[in-house]
Amino acid sequence: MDGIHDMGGMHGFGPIDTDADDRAFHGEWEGRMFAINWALMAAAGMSLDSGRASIEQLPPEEYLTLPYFGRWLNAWCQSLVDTGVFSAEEMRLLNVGKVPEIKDMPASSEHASANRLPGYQLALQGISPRRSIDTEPAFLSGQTVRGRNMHPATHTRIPHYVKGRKGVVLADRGGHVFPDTHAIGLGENPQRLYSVRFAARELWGESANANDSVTLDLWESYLEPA
Amino acid sequence: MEGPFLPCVQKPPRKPLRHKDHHNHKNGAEYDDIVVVENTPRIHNLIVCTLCSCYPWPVLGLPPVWYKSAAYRSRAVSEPREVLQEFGVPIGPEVEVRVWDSTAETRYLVLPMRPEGSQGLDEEALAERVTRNSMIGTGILSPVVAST
Repeated sequence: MDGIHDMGGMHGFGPIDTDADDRAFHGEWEGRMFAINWALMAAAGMSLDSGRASIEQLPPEEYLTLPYFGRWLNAWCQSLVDTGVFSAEEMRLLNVGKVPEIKDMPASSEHASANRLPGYQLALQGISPRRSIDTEPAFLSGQTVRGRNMHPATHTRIPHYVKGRKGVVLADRGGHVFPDTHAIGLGENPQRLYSVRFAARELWGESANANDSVTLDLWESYLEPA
Repeated sequence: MEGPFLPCVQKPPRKPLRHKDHHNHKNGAEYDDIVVVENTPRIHNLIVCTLCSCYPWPVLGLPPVWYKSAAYRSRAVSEPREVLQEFGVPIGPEVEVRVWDSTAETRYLVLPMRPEGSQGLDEEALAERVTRNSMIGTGILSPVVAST
């Protein structure tokens, strides 16, 4: 979907706060949310793709103002209502969608205790997205391709800034679960994934440095011959 | 600003990470989930995830706040040199900046350049000097000053 999450190349977010507090979690609730995420994913049979899709569906103003793990919390609350685990009324009565104020939470004295959280091993092991496929690759390394002009209203992993732009295939990474269908319950439909390099000037125009580039991993159906 | 902060591994892995240079990599020979890209005097690599916050967790732990920020996600692809300047990383005009946008499950990691003056250091001493930011591309390793 053409949502607020597709941020590459946007203006207006200001300088980077390079000195920002480096802790993985800024309060206990963030660590809990991290753990709950993996526990719920395992329990509900949810995937990374559907999780990302639900975060992307947050209203843009919420997406931009919620703290990072607050997005996870709100997205999960919505998913649990959508999948019928809770009714909207139950969720309202539980009052679990409220994101705690970070300043009210006790900060962990340790940098990170993530490796002791339940679900962490699942988080680390992940779920391999690779699938063997026997179709011939549509594109070869060195071939010039173009990002398709496509605008599905549902989850996709092609950023807006490569649509209609030409790049060169660097590598064929083999069959991978297709997030566009996997995220919305339409199956894994594995496709080949390619690393494609785009010249900075092709993406951003003449003001970009002539030496620079951006490389992305793009599924076969995001690309067309150029 | 930046210490050797590696939440899930106290040190970088003991075994050297495999380096795979795409220009020498035959199509389809091998598929890795973590791809290490090497910085050289002529190439500087920078890792971002513009769509969410994909990051090499198994090696670096959870990402810092700035990596997940709208400012970094929006700007790293379109103005990487300005971004690197904000991190205090100088990039000469002769250097090629390669940005990697982690749009799939492949995770990218930067192999930083060996610091100046580190010729006599062993693996362990070198590992102590490696910083998290240097493996994302937003840091470089400080020169080694002789202690004598």
